[in-house]
Amino acid sequence: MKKIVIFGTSPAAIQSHYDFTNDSGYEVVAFTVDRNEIKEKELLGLPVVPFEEVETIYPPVDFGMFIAVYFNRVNKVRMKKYELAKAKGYTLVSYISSKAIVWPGLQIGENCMVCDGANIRPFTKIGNDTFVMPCAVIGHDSVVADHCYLAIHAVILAGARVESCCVIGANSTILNGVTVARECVISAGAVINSDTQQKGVYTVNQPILQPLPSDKLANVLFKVQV
Amino acid sequence: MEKIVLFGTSPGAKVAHFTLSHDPSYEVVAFTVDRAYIEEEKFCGLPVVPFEEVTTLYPPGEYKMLVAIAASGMNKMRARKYAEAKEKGYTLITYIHPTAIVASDLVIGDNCMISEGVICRPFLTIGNDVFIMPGATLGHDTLIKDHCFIGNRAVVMGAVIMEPFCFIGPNTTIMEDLTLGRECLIGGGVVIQESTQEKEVYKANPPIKLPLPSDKLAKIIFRKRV
Repeated sequence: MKKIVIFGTSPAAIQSHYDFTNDSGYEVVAFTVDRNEIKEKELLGLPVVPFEEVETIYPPVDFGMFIAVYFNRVNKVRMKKYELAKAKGYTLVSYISSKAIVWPGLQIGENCMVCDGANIRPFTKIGNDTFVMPCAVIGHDSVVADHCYLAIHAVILAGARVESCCVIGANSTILNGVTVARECVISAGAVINSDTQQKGVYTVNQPILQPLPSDKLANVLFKVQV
Repeated sequence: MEKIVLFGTSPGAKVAHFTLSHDPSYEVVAFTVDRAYIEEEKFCGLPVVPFEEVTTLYPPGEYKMLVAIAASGMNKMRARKYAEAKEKGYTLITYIHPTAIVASDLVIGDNCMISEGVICRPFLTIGNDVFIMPGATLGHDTLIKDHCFIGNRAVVMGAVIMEPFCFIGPNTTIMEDLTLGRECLIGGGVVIQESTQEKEVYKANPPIKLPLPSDKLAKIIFRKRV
């Protein structure tokens, strides 16, 4: 069994430790973060070692690595650690949940994560270091570049293109053939129907708070008795 | 094993071919389109034959057909070829992907496509020639009439009547106990709370582009470090 070291001690690291331990061919042996970020010597019973000297304790020839950082600073934190780990000589592993729906011939790079219920359709290309959260759908003939983060239930339609370092929010929709430019942030629930500008932040109208409390309105909203 | 001729050479047909090729119950033997639309003699490594003479090459007694056209022309193009293929005597197959979660009492017609991860709840009736894209959820006591197209991750709640030729975009929500008129187009991300009339078109609010680039906003939007 291939042994790996996880970069990070945040909830993202704990989540990926769980996923790798329960649903992959990898064994997690340690965590690593920058020396000044180390608060505890152990996490989940495993050692936490300084990233500055991780290669001497867990040499890249024997151990793989996974950078378990979500989308901080538009994915740049993860990207930086990804590049440093590569420079140290580590092979970065990807996790694809056994409960995700993927097809034979899937093209996906290193340090990717494809979570439960995500659905990656045929003829799709995913770059390196891209995280696909639960139930996201990536349509056929679409491209998701490096260092992206697709949140829960995001839908990328056929022929769309998501360029590097984008954050695609929960339940948002990228329509057919649209290109989302580098480093965009698309907020939860947004529908993107034309190409976006680089580093653009796209948000949605806020919901409308009604003037009556829910117990007064219930019989109006729920037409059928449920 | 059923031998299938696919109508179409679009990306939708390519995906249908890919899908059926990974199911041991089916063997796709050829593609067919109208003679005027034949561009190459082969598609996905299989012959492309003129629809006008498909019955002599692939007789309806031995071969079945799937009209694999997406929603072009409000589903009218697929409906026309569906009718023509029936006239030629073909049995049109309905394909339900094994990862779909389908109630045992589902009533469904021919030339339907239920893609990966679709959920069909009990007491649901689906007509002929209905295409349902990955991850859509169809509620109980709902009736989807002929020639509809339901996009990725769309949610159709209980007791909905959907008249023929409707196009339901990705990530849309159709609330319970209402009727969608014939040929309605519901754009991606729209929430429909009232019944609609024939041929109505609904579009989501466009996203709001914030005045700051993503690297300036990241710290504000992502309050918690993860």
